[in-house]
Amino acid sequence: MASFRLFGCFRKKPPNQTVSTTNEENTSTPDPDEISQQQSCSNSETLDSPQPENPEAMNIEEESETTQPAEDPGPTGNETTSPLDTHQRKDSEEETSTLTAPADSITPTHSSTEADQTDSLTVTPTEYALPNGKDGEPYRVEHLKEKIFSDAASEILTYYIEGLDESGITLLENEDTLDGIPTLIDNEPKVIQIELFYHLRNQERKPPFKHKLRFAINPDPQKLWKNIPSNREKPYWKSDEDCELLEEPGSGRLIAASKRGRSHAHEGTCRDDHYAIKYFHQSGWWLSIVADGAGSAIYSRKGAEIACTAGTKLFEDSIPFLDSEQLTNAICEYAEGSESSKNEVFGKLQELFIKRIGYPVCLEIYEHAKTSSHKAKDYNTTFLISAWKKTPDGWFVCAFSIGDGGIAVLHESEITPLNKGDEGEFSGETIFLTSNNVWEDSAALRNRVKFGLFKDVHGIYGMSDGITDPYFETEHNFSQLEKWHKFTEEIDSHLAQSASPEKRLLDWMDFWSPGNHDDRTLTVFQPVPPQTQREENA
Amino acid sequence: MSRRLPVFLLLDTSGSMRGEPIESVKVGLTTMLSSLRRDPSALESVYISIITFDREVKELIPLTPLDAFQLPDFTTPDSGPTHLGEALETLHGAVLRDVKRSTPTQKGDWRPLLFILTDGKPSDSARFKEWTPKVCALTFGTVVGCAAGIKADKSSLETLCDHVVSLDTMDSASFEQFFKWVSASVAAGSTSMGATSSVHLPPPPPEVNTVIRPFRFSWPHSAYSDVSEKNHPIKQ
Repeated sequence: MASFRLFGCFRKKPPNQTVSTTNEENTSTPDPDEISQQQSCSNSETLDSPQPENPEAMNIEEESETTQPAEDPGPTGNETTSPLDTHQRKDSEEETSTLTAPADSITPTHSSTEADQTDSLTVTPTEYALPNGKDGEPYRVEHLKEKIFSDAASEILTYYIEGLDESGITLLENEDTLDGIPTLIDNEPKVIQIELFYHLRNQERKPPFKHKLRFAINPDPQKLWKNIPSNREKPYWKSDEDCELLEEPGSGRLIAASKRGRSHAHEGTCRDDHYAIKYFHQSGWWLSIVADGAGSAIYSRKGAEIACTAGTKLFEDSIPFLDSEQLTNAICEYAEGSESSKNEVFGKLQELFIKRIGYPVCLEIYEHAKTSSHKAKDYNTTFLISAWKKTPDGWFVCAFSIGDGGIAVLHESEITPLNKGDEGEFSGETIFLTSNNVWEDSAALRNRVKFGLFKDVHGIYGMSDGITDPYFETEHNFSQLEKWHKFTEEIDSHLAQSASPEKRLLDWMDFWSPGNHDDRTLTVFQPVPPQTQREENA
Repeated sequence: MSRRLPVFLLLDTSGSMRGEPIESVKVGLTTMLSSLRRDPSALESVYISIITFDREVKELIPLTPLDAFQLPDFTTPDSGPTHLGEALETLHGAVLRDVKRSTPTQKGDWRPLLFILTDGKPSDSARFKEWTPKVCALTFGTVVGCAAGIKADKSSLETLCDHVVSLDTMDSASFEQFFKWVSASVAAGSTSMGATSSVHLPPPPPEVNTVIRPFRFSWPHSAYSDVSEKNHPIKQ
């Protein structure tokens, strides 16, 4: 939207104009007086009358500063002392004395003594603002002239830039391009203020016009994250990371890792996530619990821990119930497709997860809060529990969850989520094991119980939102096989051939994902492939 | 794309803000920007929008990522009314248009934050009353009102905000302190948001007087509110 026009002798500005009235009033068409005066001076023509007074306005970034007008037309500039000139001068003085003086004020008044029309050409830069740069990242702006002067670019004979010295960016004059890699000292954000001096055609001998531009150099957030160890004196302190491996020949291996998120590391606060994994030799059940303590709850790290320890204990106590003949038979019949058995299994699992495990775990947190004289909501945590066992008809997997995060089974090139992450209307909002509305809605509560029989299981996964957010983002993606392929390929390649896959899993959790710096917890179950199993048996 | 923390700034640009006050606001905003840019979490998530109000309401900057943000120039008329009510209406439209809520296929933004700065009182009081409940229903993470100077009307801000602070003077030191506090609040929001429908604000600096003591505001209609012990089965 550049505009440029040819002026006769001068450009008139209302003398009393103050700073803050800028664009609007000044973009207005010059008053008839002004035009007639211009015309009377040199018959120049107004090509495009709206002329932003303060083209730099959009670029003002950091502290406001006084703006100097360009050098006065020097002795060679045929400076005249006409009343009009004085007018202009007064104007300039006013601008410099005020904080937000419009930047341009660069319409030096050339007298028409040379009687050269082109001599008094002036162009108005556009409102183009240079983009901000980033520490250590290539910065390049091409076609600078066209961006700053738009249609009037052809009127610019030469230009140069001052103020780039310590920015790491240089002007490639022949290419009309700003280029370089800005660098910051100690990650301190910086504002680069530059002055672009330009000569118009046929005005080589005149002092140059000046246009000011500003842009910021941002630090690289990756370099700003601190890693402050958590304070061991804090109540309920826990290690910043934890990992574990359980292996059972002939069945599979269960790997777990949990790592404090960068947002906690930056503040030196504790990890709020927790997990528990267990293999029950006698019964053959595998168990995984993932709990994510609420960031907003002061002792949620303890809430998550209680959810894991109490959950494991209560599950163990319930194994006889799970392995009862009735339920075992119902699972067999369910495998054969019996709908009534499916309902029976569903009913039994509801009793297991809601009555025998979920609610008692919630009560345990309340009890703990009561004896510690804290509020239960200070221990807010999510609760994702899954258990599985090998049956003649495949892996029987059952799960129950309250809150965000995910549980899923990857099998026969299919992905089956075993939970529906509870997400609020905005990011990071969820519900907790300790939320009363969870336990009031029995229909919704029943739907939290999921189960299935799976053949050719590749993996069974339990994870906190620290993993689901960066890798799956939405509920929809969590059921998309291609998303899972990317995820499992990474996991599998990391864990393959490693003597301590749990440590490898922990290492993997350092992955970088902007905006996703929550605690990360993942449990991965990898069954022994059928082939290996046969070899082992042999 | 990284999840956004939308921050809306409603700034009074009426005639009384002209001169030193508006310049001081600019200095304050400058300080706010540079301190937010030192915070990695804010750099990755904060988006800022500026809406100004005087006799006219302008959406000066729509939601723009902090790293690309450039401070605009403000214009103030000589005099005239303060259309805060209309500004609320504009804000309402901008929030509905630009702030993303979670759906099964879309990751929502963080709950947005709102800061309102005024040195007067809404001239369009009927409109202000009409739009206050509608803006409240947008369930911001926090709504902070700043009553700048002695003529600022705190009582109308109190109907809208869950925190109201006041500045005795409208000089750059006061505004700078206020905006420093805003950036600390935004930074707190960008690292610790989630789980609850409220944001814990850091205590304001001494230059900033708290009119209403900070309290945790929970939205009665949110299905995702914290457990209230009163209603919990264990207490019954």
